[in-house]
Amino acid sequence: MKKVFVFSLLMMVVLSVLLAGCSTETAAAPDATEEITIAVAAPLSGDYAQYGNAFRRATELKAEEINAAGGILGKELKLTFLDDRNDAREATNVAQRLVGDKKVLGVIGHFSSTASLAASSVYEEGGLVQLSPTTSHPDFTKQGQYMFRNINTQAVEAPIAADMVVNLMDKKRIAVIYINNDWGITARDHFVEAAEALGGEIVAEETFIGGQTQDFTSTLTSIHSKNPDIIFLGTFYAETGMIAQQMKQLGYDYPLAGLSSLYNEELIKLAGDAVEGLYMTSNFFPGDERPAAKEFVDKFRDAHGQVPNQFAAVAYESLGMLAGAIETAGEDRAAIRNELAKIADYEGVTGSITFSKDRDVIKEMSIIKIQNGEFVIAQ
Amino acid sequence: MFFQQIINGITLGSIYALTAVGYTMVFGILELVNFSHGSVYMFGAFLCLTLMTALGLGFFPAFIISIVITGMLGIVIDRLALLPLRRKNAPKVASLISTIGISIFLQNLVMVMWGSETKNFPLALNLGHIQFNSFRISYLQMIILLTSLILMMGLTLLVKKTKIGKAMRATAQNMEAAKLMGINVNLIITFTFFLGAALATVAGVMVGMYYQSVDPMMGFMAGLKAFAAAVLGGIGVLPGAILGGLIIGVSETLAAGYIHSGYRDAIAFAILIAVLLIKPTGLLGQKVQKKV
Amino acid sequence: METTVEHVNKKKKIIKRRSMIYVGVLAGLLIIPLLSLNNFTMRMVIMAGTYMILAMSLNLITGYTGQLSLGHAAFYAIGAYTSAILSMRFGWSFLITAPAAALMAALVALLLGIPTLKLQGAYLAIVTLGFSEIVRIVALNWMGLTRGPMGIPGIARPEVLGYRIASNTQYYYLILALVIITYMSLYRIINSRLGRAFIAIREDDLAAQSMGVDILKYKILSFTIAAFFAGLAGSFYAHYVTYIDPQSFTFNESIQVLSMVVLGGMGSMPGAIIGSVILTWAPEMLRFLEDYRMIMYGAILIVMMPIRPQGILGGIRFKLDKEEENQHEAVGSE
Repeated sequence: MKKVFVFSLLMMVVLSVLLAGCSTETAAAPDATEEITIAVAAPLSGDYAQYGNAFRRATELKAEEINAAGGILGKELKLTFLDDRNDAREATNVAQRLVGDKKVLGVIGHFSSTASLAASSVYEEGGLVQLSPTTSHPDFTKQGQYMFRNINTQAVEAPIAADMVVNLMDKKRIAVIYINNDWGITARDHFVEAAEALGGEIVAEETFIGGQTQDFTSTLTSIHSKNPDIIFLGTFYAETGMIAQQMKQLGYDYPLAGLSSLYNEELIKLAGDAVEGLYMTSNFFPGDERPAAKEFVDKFRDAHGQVPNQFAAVAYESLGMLAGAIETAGEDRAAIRNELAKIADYEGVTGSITFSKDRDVIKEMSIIKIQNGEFVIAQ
Repeated sequence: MFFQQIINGITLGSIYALTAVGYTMVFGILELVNFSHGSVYMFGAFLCLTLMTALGLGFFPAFIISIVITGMLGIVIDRLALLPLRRKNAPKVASLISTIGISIFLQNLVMVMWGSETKNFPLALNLGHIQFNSFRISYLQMIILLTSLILMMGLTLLVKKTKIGKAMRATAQNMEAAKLMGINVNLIITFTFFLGAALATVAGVMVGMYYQSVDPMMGFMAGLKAFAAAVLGGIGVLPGAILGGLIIGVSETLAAGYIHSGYRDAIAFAILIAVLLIKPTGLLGQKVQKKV
Repeated sequence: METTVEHVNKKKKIIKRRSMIYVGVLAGLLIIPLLSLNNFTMRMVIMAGTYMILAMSLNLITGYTGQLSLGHAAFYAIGAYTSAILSMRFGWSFLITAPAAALMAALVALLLGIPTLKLQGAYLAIVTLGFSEIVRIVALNWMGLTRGPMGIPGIARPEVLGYRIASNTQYYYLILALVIITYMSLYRIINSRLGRAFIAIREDDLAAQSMGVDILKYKILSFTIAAFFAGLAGSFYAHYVTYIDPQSFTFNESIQVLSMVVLGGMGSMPGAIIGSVILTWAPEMLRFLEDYRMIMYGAILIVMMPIRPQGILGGIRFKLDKEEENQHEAVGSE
């Protein structure tokens, strides 16, 4: 009978874990609660934690502002943060948890395409708005009617960068280094297409796996042998710091250009004068003179002692838009989705935002460069 | 271009070698696939950086203090996580899972303590470079290679010539017999862990300085590559770690330079597998490895 | 020596008792969805089920045959990709893509196993680790086949005999069926001549060899069978989450599954099941710790191992198993 005993023990463990799982979830109906809950789902641990933390800092700041101004529908806005570790499986778990929690009226997240796309089918089925501040994967908003993004896809940004390189910087022979993820690949595709159309010539295309590669010397050496005029970077700031440093160590002196992903104060700390003269596209940088941007930068600096980056900026305004939609639509998930889809000319910190009928955005971009160790506007 | 690529490869290889020397040291004595090495390496680099920036210490004092403190951390890891397993004669895989636990623990601890951003590590030893016709070598690159060679020779002497080294070899051969011969096996293992963690710090700091950046995840790939280099050279064989590291570094670099940059790690691993098929106990390994 | 009649009676009794237990457990599992658990709980149960298949299959290699594999995610990935590609390109249904995925994973394991399984210990570990990295990197770069990092979105939901599976309850019954198939198949294998050969290799490969066990052949078999079920799990995962990309099959997945096997108990099928349940749930249960969640997860692994180094159910021998083994021995000695 020992086996029976062990088996029943096994069943008990399984069941008790199940029941414990139920109890962790708030099954309460959205009755007369005095709170409006919005969830922020992002990587708060693991390789991408820094981006999730940018989401957290920015949305906390926005929530404080909203509550200081009287909340949403006269109720207090409460944020709930869920860590997805940038893992597809965990993102779907988070999504399912949020969909089941009737108090949650909308979700800001997730950070990367892996997490956002894996979770999208759950949000779509649960009829819960998934507004990702950063997912630029072209298929993301095609996953359903509840997916929104608040970032330009590379179909918009990369051609602007190509124009910057070929016309503004006047460089024709271009070498491209891009990160091997969905964002990097689409950036490369659109950049290469646009640059060639403008009369540029792509002399090299090199890639690397993010978070896994620290050594770029071999890539840079083989780019050097192709004799380019410029190196274009479809990368993030951490790799860019290493690429620029290693280029300098190898004694190569190519101008660098990149995308808005590079905007981070840490980049200048990491690479110092190795990134001097780098040009990039941008839709947010702290030197921006527009009042909305200025105010955000000052508040963020006061609260966190650092200058916000682009990821913080888009998360900040995403929460603003979602809160606005709830204010008009009331506490009804489907109505919130419809209201959010109507948003036009929202004055955000990255400029004026209008959702297209596919729930994508098109934002104006400016060109900035690094001069004397600071980001300044170039055009 | 080719010479420059070889230099790039040797530099990358010596970075792997430097990490692998410490790895193979512990590996050889305990036959433990140790996934905590990478995170200890990362911890050492962060500690050194903090001592320099927060306390304003110079590079060398910070370097030495972080080696000692991280070495102690190695002892703590052994005492808390691995000694209880040895006491119970646990299977080796149980220790492996414990080292994974340590690595998850340390990575996330560092992230909470120091934040998750990539941080700048100052280039404390900016010594310039030698320019040849078509390629250049920096002194820092040479220092990294030299450090790994010196450590390898120092450790070889330690293991072959000293009393404690003899005790280490005896422990590696047969723990029970070593105990019966009056060797304090647990003390030897503790010492090995101290040494392993200290060596990881040397590697972490040098690599952090070379790339001028540190981040909480930097130990993950470094740990895997050290594991690969140690196995390729033959488990527990110190010169093998250097050879293994160099082969992996050079093959990765040449793969990225001449074949396809996206496949660099895949090609390096394919070469590793191919070598092991020809020499199943690694390039310089001799004795047949016991089950892990 | 027992008489034949007594022997047969005893055997019947064991079979009867065993089937009673199975019926009880099955009934319990079948009514789980009737407890009106919410979707989140159901999803966690389904994910735990996927990991049960992975952990039970890895257990065959590591727990029963004693070979350390750090690359189980490779076969999981191959299964998921085979299934996704067949489903997207040719519109094949789950009933065809799932076996195809499992067979593909098994075939790759066979081809990898033939040259590499002569390696031992850490040498085999690094080869399996390296292989799984190669699989992931190929999936990242071979855009034409896998769409690389763009991943494959919108994978069709399974249709079983004209019945479309979409809700979590339906997926639950599907994964339950797959877990039972895996459990029964592996149970049969382990309690057969084949399984005893595996265990002999684990206990003492030299002795096994001198007793006439062709160790390489059996290691390859063990490896191939395990990969078959890992591929099956991958296929289910692809059709469940409906989006896959190479990021979902990193080395961490292999480590996670290995942790489940070791924590639950190597060489114990119920152990693998318990290990999967605990480690699937742990990160979710620890959410209240917020930033300290993963620190605690690491600490749990560190603390659990010394408490039961052989795993939660490792080394526990069930009475019925013993009786059945005695029967086998008795049969063998007749």
